[in-house]
Amino acid sequence: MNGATILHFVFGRLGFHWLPFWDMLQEPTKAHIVNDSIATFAASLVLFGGALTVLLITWFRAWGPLWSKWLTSVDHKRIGIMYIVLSFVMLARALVEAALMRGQQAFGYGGGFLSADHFGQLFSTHGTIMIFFMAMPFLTGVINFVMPQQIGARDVSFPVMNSVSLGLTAAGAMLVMISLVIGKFSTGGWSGYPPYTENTFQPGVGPDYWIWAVTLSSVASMMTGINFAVTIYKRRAPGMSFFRLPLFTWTALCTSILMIFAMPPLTVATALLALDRYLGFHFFTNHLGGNMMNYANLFWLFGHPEVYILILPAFGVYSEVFSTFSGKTLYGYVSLVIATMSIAVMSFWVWLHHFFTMGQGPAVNAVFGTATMLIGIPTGVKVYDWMLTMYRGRVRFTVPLVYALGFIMLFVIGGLSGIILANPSVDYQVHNTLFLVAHFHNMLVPGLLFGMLAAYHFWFPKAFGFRLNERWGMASALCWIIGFMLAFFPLYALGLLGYPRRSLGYFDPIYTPYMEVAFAGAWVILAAFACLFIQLFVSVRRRREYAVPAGDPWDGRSLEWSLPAPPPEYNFSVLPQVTGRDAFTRQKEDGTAYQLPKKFSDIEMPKNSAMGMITCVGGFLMAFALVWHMWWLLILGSIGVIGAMIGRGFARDTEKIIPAREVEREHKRWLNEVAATSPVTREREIDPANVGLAAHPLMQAAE
Amino acid sequence: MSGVENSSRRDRSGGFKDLLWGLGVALSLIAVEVALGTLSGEAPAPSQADRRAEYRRELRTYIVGFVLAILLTLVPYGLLYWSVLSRFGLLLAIGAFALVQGAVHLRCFLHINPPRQNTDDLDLVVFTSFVVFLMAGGTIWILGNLAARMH
Amino acid sequence: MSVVALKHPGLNLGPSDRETELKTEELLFGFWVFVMSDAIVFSVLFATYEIMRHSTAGGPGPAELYDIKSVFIETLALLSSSFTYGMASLSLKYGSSRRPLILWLCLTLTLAVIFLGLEAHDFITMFHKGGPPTRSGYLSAFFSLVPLHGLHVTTGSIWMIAMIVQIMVYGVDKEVKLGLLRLGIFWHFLDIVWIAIFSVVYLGGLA
Repeated sequence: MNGATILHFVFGRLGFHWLPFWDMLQEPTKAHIVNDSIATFAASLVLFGGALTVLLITWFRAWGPLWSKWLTSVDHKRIGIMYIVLSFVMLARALVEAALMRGQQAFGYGGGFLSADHFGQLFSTHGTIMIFFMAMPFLTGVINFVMPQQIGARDVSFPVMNSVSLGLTAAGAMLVMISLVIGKFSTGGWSGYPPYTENTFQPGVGPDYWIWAVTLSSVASMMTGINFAVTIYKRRAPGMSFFRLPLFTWTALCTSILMIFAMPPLTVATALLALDRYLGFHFFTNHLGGNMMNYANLFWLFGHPEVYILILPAFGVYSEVFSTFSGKTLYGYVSLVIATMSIAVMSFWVWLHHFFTMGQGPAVNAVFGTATMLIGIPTGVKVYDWMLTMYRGRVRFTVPLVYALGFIMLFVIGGLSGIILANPSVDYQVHNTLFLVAHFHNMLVPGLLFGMLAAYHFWFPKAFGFRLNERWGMASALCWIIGFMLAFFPLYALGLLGYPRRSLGYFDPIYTPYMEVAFAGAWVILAAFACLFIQLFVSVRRRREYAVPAGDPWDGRSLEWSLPAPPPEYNFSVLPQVTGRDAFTRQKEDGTAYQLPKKFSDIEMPKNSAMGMITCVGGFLMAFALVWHMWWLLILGSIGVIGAMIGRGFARDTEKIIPAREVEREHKRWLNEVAATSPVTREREIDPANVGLAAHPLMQAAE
Repeated sequence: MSGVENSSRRDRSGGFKDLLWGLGVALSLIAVEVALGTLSGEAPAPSQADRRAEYRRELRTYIVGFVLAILLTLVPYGLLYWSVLSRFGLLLAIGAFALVQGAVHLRCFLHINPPRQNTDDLDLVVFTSFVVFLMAGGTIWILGNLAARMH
Repeated sequence: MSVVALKHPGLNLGPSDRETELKTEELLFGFWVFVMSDAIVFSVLFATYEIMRHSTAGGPGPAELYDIKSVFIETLALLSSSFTYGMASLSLKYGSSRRPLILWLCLTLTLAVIFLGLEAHDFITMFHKGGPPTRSGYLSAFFSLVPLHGLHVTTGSIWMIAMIVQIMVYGVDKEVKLGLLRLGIFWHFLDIVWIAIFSVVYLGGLA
């Protein structure tokens, strides 16, 4: 065995030529210099960001608390917060990539400054990150934090598995980040269609990075779906029947059902592609019996329910936001529930509309086209219900409501463009043009992203005990709304003018003005994102002024607002008895809120566990090994992860007891704090006087 | 198909022997296991008469399920081996026996019992079947349509 | 003692305190949900197999490659292993000592190993007959579906070994019972998938 073989065994196909500045050094043409400089800068940011994080943690001596309070925590609230932190980091990267692409296309007449390969990687990472490492973690984090509190539970059904899901998602995100430093990413888009992503056309590491990142994320989401569904089925507080659940929990339930059933086809699609690439199978190859159209079929079997996974939690957030900030019960509760369930069920029979042009006959297209139009109806019902919730309410223009209003106006436009696309004949004209790109961004940005940002603003006080600064929040919301319109409305026109998606540049100057407007929009969006960071910075600086320890800054309606802010690890000192919808509002009106329970019991909670971290590191190492063909590392990683799983089975001492007197002490301390504050009316909602105790209108009237 | 017919003509006696052998294994396993069941002393204390009756009932469920499953396996294999049906009839029979045997497993081994079952679990099985039907059926329909249009 | 209403799939161990019952129900419901997602994985692979059944690309097809006798014996072995696991479950519920339980589990494991051994041999024979997965789309589809089931059986066998060791270390405590209940659901589910495999792939392929 000579030196070369040993090197090859240890390092797989790692090599210096995979570094981002290599081409530039080998052959310093203008194109190489521009593209490689951008790539190297990005790689440096990753390394610098990682190093800075390690340095800061060390400086503040935070490794211990980081490990014991966060990384090994199985508390759904902490896990939820970590998911959201991850998604904000990934959002930053994906937004920069988007701005780069807008810039390239604004200067794209005659070529632009990016190479085709670089542009290909940009749209692929942008899409992959936004869906799998921004949107999914964000909504998973929000549901994780909020849902157990809303149903009156102490935690999710499987806390350790919750931590494992987070670990796997983080591993996938790290894989995508490391692809900036070494190797290239796939240029096959976030959907990764073969045969382009087969070995014949892309023998490098790109598609492999994509496959394993997506696999890690999809396995994590499948486990999350199981966790959430079982929690909602089995851990509701006494009296919390299904038709008394808050709407956000209903959407969380439907989302989790979609996760359970939609992730498997994705796992299969990427696994089959991996078999083709690694072992020479013929699922999707051009020859020897491959059927590449099955990939599109399998991918979209996942892909369509996926977009409903993305949007349903946002719908849930809007339901909470509209009712809370109109001071009214949600209008048409039953119709909203039925609409949510219909959307979930119908999402399984429309997937072909993503490939109307693939060659099937008109009958097949017509069936799926009709089904696609039908699925727009329940969403319409929801929009009317939300509007009717606001009607005759006392509407307060807080940041979450501004996001919600932006959503109502913009999402409807996007939905209409969807109904247009649902017609196969029309779709043949605009499929894979920027019209389509405009449509789905119109759904995702005002739909999903605004919903998540509204959720962030809405539940932040509950998570951390202080509100966010309203001014910077408003600035951010308005910049998002305006920026979105500037960045994406021109794309509708561009698509109708024939501009294909994922296209580097153009030779017809008619596109340029639209591209320039879109580029301006990208800057406004970057400004919106900057406002978010400034908001956080300012809010942390002024946290004493914005503190809301009593826990109910918005005069909330559901059970999570009946808890202190931040809530104790076990959420409820005594599990609540639910008698109807809007459970906390009921309590405030009945005068049964903020009561001292007669009896406290010991509370059994799960102990911390390192399983999440083990699967995170193990998963990352296994994926990295698979990408770079380092088989020894793959085996080691697998043994580690499997060993940990088997070892966990032998664990016996996994619960801890929180004694009743400690629970009682905490509860009394909080009640004393509540008693010492004065309730505020909604006029002073964003005043420092709001310490989290609401003067509920009916309570006032009673006095 | 010619391969199977040839082999069945050539070693019909050999094939029959295999079948008998297989049956013998199955039957002796049943015998052994029933015997083990009564002889191993794992039946509960006589003072708990209800528990004993329950044990016998559950044991019977498993045995009945096992025997039914064996039969429902033997018949389709036999139908294939002795080429008694047309191709379409054979496929239909195989499918029908598979579905019935699946139901036997669900009822006898997994104790899924529609009248008495917890609704959550039944909802789940029904919904899964619905999704399976849509995904598998849809895939076959779409790809079949594509294949037909490409010939 | 009246008959306990069956609350969840798989063996119900009979009444205990309310809290344990709730926890058991939750755990087993969750596992059952996971099994359903696994069923989706298999059904999508079945569908893929169906549409690629004829894509032999001039290579060997079912008639040339399948050894129906071996498949028949594998079927009986796996079915019997389901039965022996059922006996183990009964021993878990009604038995007072661990020996019968461990013996039944070992018997199940033996039958599983027989199944896996025969199946591995089948695959190698197929390779030798010119039917490796790299030969055609049909063979790729076959070799994704059937070995995935085999991988599940292997995983279940490793799990079973771990459970046997746990019984020897801890005795039949609550965690062991919950683990065996879940393994039971898994094991019976795998036999149901095998019914589909031998019906659709083997019998259907040779029909």
